[in-house]
Amino acid sequence: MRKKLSGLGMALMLALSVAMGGSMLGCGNETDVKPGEEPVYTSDEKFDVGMWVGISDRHVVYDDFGKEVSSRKLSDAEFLEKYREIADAGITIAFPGYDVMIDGRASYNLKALKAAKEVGIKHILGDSTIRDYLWQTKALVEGKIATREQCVEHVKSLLKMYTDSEYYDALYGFMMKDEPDMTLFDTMAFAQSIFNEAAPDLMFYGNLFPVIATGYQLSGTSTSVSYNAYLNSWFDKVGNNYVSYDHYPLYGSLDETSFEASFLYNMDLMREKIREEGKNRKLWTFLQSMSFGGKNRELRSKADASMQAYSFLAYGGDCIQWFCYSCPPPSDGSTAFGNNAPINRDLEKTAAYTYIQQTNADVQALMPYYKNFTWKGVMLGNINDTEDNFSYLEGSPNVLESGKTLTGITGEEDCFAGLFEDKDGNEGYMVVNFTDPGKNLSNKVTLTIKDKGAVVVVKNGVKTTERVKKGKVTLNLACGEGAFVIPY
Amino acid sequence: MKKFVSFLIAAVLCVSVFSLTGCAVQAPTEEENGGSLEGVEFTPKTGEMYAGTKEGKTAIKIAYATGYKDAWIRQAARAFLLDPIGKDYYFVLTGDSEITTGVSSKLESGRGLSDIYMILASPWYSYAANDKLASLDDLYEMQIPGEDGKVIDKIRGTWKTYGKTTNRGEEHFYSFPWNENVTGIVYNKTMFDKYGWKVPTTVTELKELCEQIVKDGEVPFVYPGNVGGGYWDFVGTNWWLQYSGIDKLNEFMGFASPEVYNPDIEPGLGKKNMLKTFSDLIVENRTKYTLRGSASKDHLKAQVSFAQREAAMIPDGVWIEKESGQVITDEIRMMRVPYVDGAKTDANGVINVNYSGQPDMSIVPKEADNVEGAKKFLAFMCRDDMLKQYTNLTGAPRPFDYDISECKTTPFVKSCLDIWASSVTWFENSTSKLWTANKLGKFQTTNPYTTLLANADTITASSWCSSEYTAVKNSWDDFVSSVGGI
Repeated sequence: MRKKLSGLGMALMLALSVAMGGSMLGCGNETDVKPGEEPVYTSDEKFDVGMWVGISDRHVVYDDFGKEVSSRKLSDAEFLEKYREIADAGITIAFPGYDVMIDGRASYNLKALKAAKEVGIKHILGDSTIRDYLWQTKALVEGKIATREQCVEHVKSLLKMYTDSEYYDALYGFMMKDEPDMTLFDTMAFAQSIFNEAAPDLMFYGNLFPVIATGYQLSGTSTSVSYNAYLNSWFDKVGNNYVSYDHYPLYGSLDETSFEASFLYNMDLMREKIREEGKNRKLWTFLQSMSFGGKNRELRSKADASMQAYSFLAYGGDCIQWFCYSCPPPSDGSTAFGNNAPINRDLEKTAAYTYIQQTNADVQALMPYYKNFTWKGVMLGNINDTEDNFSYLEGSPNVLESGKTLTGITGEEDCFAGLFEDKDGNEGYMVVNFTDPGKNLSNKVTLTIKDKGAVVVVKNGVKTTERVKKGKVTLNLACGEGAFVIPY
Repeated sequence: MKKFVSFLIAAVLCVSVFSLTGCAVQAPTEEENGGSLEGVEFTPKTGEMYAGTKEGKTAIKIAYATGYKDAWIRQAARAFLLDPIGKDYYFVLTGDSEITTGVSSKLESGRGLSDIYMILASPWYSYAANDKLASLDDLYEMQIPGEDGKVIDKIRGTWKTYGKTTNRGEEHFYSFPWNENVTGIVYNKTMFDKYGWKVPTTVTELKELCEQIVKDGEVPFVYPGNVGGGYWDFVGTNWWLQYSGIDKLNEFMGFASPEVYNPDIEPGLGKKNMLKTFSDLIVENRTKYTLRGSASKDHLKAQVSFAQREAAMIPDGVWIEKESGQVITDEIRMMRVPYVDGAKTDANGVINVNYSGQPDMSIVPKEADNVEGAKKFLAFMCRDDMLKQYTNLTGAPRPFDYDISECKTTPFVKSCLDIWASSVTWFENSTSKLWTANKLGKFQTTNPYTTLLANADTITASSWCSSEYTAVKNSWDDFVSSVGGI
């Protein structure tokens, strides 16, 4: 009966539309599509949020010239309190403090692990004994000084103090090498294979150079190489389930601001390599949360943090890490560091703490949706290319002209969207106001959406729905804002 | 009616421009353009400049670092377009404060390339070795438009050879001189006049001056501690050049053996003496001779402090007036870096040297659309009138032979140019693979200036140099091996 009525209704509508000049048949004029059932997504999976430079168990005081003038050991209670702050900031993977980051003492590492477990987060540790041994394993095995099995067993024995610890489940992995040049790849690849055999549940963590490194930095020799060759070599040699790099985009001083032009390009290259390899490695990156050197500025607003994070999400990222969580010393001998990381040198929270905390929370609020989707590419709303990022993406296979449902994106200012699909092929979009957050530009972003009547919009931790009108939906994105959008 | 239509079109254009730009792009003033742009059309939003029409003409796309603002490039482009040599071209001019950092990834991507990149100190030889740059051999040999001489014959000093490097086993020119800097100590002349302070000519006099400044209740120096070495190297390397002489510093840059770092013999001895001079003057007196908080200031913040009379002097360069001129209301001048005891002399007295800092250059991507147009324009910029126009509009010299006395400059720029014209300019230049591969540098371990300031009681100039020498000796074989021998 219902079928017949529907058929009659259709016929009536058809007749009516013909009488009206075919307006309802899409012969030139557009009519809003009736929304389908609002999709329901759930996921308990959290987004990984890490850091560089965590909390040391020593509080060091420096004078105006960066000289260490005193230090004292933190009490256990103080140390734990600092870990509570890490967890409250929305960090899910802690790093050690500056002085113990690479060469953590056993006493520190176990204390840090305990604190991490107590506040419900994970920890990446530095242990020079383990790392130094792993670095030798290739030579040991190739020189027939030890067998591969012996190396694995020895690494297991070195790990024993952690694996036997009651806090072991808070251990995420070990920091092995920051920004390795290509001469280290063979050694690292071998070391990683030994490590993975000894501790298959732990991460062998290495972080790659950004695209702005010089060809000689990348090669480590007198032969300059391209970044493409550097990545190819890493992907070929160092098999793993993730790739991590750092690239910091916020520049400026006083009230000046500018934005690094190859910020998206670096993500794009990583995505290209992940796609070519076909193993779907997780994509990790460091984002900027403090000033350092002569150019990279402090976070001046939440937008500074969130714009970086949303851009990375739009490229389907899996883990953001804040550089830094806690302030390094004023100078490491070559680079000067500001006192404006989320935790300053007096171990106090700064404004940046709130900015990353709010950003982390907003990112987690997207996860019930985001974690149900697979990244497919990006669509650019290139208005002015004010930050010069889009010109680097010309011809990239990751840049899509259209999705199945999203056929266009434009804005008052530059914007772009990551395009995702769920397991059933339904699309979702991570839409970003891609303007230098230091310029405080809001952006009205319009998505052109085909054959859908409404969208779910998740923004600033809040889910709303919007009707698609005349095939379009407009989002008001304040400076630094992004939204996850699902049409239905 | 026709007028009305024109008015309507104009009104629509205005609205559309505003709607596209959000009113963000305003027409530049004549001052921002460095004078009139009569004879050419210029659209600041797109950076397009053409004479008459751009139809049927080829673009020369230029991306340039903006430290010296935009007037110099707009006027140079205009002159080129109005000259018969430029009749087939139009320009797309893009000022980009971050292009020096960004150019490596631009070249890597090969997308949206400009035809010329005018950049600050950069590892351009790495780009050349990656086969990303066009050979500029013919540009160096080109006759300067409207003049008799060749480009290379007009280039000054180290720049005659600096642009050469090896790519695929062949040596060619891959970079071209853009800008030359003058560095040293900038002082607040208004304060000097007010207190009757005398500009020092020797380090001894500088020390006496600092004492007097303190007695008068003022602070001698502010420095940008956040920026590599706090800009102290603009003083330090000038002192090293005075101690050791240019030949010895060139010997150092040859990196023939670890002995160039030996602090007991030249050129390492000169480095140690320079750091000792720095230590005796600045480190020992850091709390009274330097403005509190300098260590955490970047260059702009330090320059603001200097402008606000929080300190009487700042280690800096000729660019300070362009960079922070809007906040500097007092009269400022550059002083020649005071002579150290034992400075090298010749028959005319102390040999005057100017450390320019690492050089600013132009490069042309191999994959650029208009390599030939780029070279023509770069050659055109070597004309006498163009060089003088550049200096008039930037306050900086270019490393070419031309008569800067004819340039119209501010008193500050004149003080810089006087130093430049009466000095031999030196900057770091090496063909050693250890240098190009970034294995060795002028300072090997840490930055000595900030290290000495932060470790005043524990690290001395001598101990820093000794540890640097030891570190280089210990790693020498590995370094040499990693670059396949020297």
